[in-house]
Amino acid sequence: MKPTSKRSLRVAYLARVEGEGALDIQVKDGRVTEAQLRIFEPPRFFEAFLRGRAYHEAPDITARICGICPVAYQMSAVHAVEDAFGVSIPEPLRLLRRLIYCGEWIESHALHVYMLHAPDFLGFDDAIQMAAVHPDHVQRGLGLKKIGNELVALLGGREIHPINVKVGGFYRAPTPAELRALTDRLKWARDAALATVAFVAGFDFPSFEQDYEFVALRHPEEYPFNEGRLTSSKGLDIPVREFNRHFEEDHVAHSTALHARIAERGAYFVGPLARYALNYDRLGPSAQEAARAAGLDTVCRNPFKSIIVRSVEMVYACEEALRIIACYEMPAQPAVAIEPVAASGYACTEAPRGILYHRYRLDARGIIRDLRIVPPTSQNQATIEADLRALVTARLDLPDDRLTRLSEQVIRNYDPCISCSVHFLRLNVERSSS
Amino acid sequence: MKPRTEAPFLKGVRLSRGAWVIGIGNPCRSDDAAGLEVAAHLKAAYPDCVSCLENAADPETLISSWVGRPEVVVIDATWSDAPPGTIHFFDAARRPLPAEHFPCTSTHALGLRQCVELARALYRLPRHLWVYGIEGRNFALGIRCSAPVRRAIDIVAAEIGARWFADREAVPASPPPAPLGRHSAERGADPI
Repeated sequence: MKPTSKRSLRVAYLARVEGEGALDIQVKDGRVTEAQLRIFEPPRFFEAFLRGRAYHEAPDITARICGICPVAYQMSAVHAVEDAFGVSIPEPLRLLRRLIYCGEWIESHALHVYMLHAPDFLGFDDAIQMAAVHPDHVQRGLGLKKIGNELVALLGGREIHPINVKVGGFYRAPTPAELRALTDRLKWARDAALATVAFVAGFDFPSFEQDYEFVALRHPEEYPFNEGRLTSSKGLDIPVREFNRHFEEDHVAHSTALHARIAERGAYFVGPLARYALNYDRLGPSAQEAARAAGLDTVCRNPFKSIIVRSVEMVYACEEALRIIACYEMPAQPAVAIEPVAASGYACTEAPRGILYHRYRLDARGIIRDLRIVPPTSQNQATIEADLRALVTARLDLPDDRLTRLSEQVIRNYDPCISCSVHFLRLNVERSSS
Repeated sequence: MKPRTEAPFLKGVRLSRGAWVIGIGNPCRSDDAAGLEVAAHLKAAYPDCVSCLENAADPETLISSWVGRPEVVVIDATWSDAPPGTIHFFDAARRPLPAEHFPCTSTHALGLRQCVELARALYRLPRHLWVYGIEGRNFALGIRCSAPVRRAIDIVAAEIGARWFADREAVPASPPPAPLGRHSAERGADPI
């Protein structure tokens, strides 16, 4: 195709992503002049809802931001409030929090790998078409998602918007017998996750690598869920409470979600590829082996291969869940006592899509006076647009329909959660009098 | 157009005695709870034959709930141009549910229509799958169905009881169930 014409690639309503967004790419004289992930879902004002609310309402209210990753919102909320109040929780409760996060990763990753992302690689419009040709694979994905849901339901009281998480721990801790009842199903899930890695490793991946700055939590001993320092592949290594000093958010005209940037360097990348690159040595032996067998190095810079990394993380989550269940001892109390103090607290946890930052300023009665939430999708937006620009520039020879489909796939590589990304409220009121 | 509130005519349809009844819906979205309300009515009388799936868009939760059951009746709210309270009836084992009654309302979630088609592709449909649709008007936040939908709920519950459970002894009537959103319906939920 001649690169001298003017071309517009538009997708008015992106499919197989969570939330409402569109794609807009302009090419003029062989040059990409515009590459936009337009997010038009209305802002949802959660930060405003929470001002004036009691600290213990934060996990339940913020969980409503997302139906796919409510556990991430609950975990970031409880850790941030506990950071403010100087609370530390005993090991059994810490492990239960890791366990509920395992459930969320399994269900969220299984959803994305099988229902939303795999159809791109296999040439189907959706998972229903895919099921007609690959019923065993789709059935495996449904089974994985279900066991993830069951784990969240057991610990959280229900699958979506769990109601059993509280600041200081849980309202009720499960018995060892309740957890052990999931062991056989989780062993099946681990094997299914390993089969998933092998399945997706056989896809054809576009040749596409970028020099990303990966950002993820890094824990001294564990693959990260709730704890650790914020690190990056370009040298960032800070405690979470310094997030505001290094990360900025800007409003851009084409998005109701803020774009995040590292102050010194610009766009960055959060999510499975970042976690994997910065924490490969914290994966268990079988997850590492599965990654190696799938052809992954210890760092993967091809975002199309995020589907393999997500599958590797499912292996890890199943194994971690089995490990926690095997050593679980019921805590004496399901939660520690909380004494509010006037303070600010900070937390980052690893949502399935990447780091989720919460900051709360609380008064002496534990009332939330101010807060800030930075979800993973808004942090990835600038990188998604940079990917679009680079990919389209390199593939201008493709016809519009193929280029558009590939561009949609670029967005789905990030498993964007658009509804999460538009929670913000930044309102400037200018008043004048005559 | 006047809502069709009489019982759907099932002429020519062979019904077995006994079926598994599944009510679907969101108890906090007003008329979307219609299927759950029908199921809650029936569960009180025939507790061994009914399940309620709140927000049941997880395909595996829905599909596995009818596995091993030869005849299944599903009740869900519909959203088409029909007047509120209209009762629709579909033979989903024989043909796909119509998109105009079960429109796709999400960029990533699977609704009842898509779940049925996924089950069909996976050969996991029951032999008979009857679907009642109750046309809703108000899907905003709320825990009370609109008046025409409430009337339709009573009609559908009575019809299912008469057609599938006529030879069963109903559990004696007890105090009416708590409004949906507060009673302990089985949960089978997730939002995909």
